[in-house]
Amino acid sequence: MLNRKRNPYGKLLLIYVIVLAISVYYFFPVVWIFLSSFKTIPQVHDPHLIFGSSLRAYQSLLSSLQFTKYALNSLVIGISTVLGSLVLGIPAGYSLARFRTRISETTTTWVILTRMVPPFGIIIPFYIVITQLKLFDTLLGVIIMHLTFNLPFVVWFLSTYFSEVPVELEESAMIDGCGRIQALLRITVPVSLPAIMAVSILCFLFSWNEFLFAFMLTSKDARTIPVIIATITGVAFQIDYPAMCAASTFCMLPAFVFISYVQKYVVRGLTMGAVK
Amino acid sequence: MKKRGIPESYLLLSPALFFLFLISIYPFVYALYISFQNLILYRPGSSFVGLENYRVLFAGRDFANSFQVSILFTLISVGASFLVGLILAIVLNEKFRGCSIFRTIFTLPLTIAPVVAGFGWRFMLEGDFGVITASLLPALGIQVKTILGSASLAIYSIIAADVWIKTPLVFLILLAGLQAIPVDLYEAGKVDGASSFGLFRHVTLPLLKYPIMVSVVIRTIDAINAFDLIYVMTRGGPGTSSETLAMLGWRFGFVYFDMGLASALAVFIIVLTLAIALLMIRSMTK
Repeated sequence: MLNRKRNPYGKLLLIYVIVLAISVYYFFPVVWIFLSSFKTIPQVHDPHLIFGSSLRAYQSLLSSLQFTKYALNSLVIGISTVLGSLVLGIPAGYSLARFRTRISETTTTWVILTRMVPPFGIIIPFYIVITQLKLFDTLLGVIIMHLTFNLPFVVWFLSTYFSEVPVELEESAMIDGCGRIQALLRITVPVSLPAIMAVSILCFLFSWNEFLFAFMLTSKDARTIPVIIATITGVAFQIDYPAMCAASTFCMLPAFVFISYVQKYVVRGLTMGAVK
Repeated sequence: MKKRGIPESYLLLSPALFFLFLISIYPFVYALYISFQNLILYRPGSSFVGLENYRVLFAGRDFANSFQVSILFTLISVGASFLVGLILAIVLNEKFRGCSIFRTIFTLPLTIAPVVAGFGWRFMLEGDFGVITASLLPALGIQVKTILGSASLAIYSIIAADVWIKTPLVFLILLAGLQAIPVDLYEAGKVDGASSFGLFRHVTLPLLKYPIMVSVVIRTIDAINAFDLIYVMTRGGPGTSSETLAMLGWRFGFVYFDMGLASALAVFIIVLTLAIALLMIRSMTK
């Protein structure tokens, strides 16, 4: 939009300068955490040292049974949340996509409104209920809490996707004697696998990164990686920074692995379809 | 076929609907109920106290302080991330070599745990050896002893981290909005002799109204409820200088275990969030 004819190189230069400056701001913290995870404790206290070559931080993480346990917790919670949201969310999303009833319209608005619910607004009632159900500090308690944000997301995401799947595919299957539910399982779900994969990955990442619920509803056994990073940095006077950097690197790993796959779904996902 | 379908539609919908009810309407009603109770977890029993929790909450100095901190935090963080996001979206809307790599770089923070981001920023700001406080700022000729330990500076360092982690959302929403604007409109504007600022003012901005609204509303809701970053970076300190409303709620509920008072604050946060969201949506869709 700048004066394209008069000075094309000047404009391009301006673009690169702006973008490079902001990407330094964006990339540096991530790179710095990664680099610092290879330092020893004395090395990390020297701000001028850039590269370290020690694997001590990773060794101390791996040799600590606690960390392996928390990593496993995060994994189990993430996968269970994904499965739970799919089992409840696929039929619901399908129903919203295929039937127009008064309830389905209200439900759609409601599902989108859950994006606006402040997590802090619901944490106290849940804390009390979950404690009463003896689910405090259990994986199941955290899984249920993570369903609160992942289920509406899956319902909404898949309903928009299912409505784009041609009805004719199901109708021909139903003429051949399939019931509605069989048609859903045998035709619509397989056809929608890429979207189901994407939504599963996003749900997993949301759950993997979540802090508030996992922190307030656990005390010891069911803690996740973000909770461990937050509580150790909050409590300890002498923080083992390289080990924390290694834990953070580990925590960022799924994001790095999946970013290219889910990138195009992220906008739709995070805005609940406000922008397509 | 449609008639036959309707009972099935409820059958498919009802499990999720039941769960949605359990997680949205029920906790709201329950939070409202607790906010009228004198419920302190380490004391047995509870009783109805009417509006006492609200009176204590609104009369207290903690609330006034947190309200101010939250407003400051929200205004600066939303404003800054909106500006940076808009610049990024405009620049990356251009086609140039490497633009897709940059788009990926700027998407990345969205998939990183806020806790990790907070830890990273805290690590870089750690007084005597943090790379910003001990290398970057001295190199620029600025001598600061501590940032996170300073009551006046701590909140701004949290804002910097919040802008870091949340700008990508604004950027992606605005970029999607920009890409939806037909090129013909710019061509027509140029033929009519509009300047590039004129094009931006009269073509881009009006057509970007909806994406702008969405990004500002989402960012505002997130900023009012900011918790993860603040917990990791300062825990609301030094003193209460960076204690936002959500942090104050955590202190009431999970340090003092005064669930009645914390619920009153939770109800206030819910009402405030919804009111701001609805006001913004109404004023911008007019």
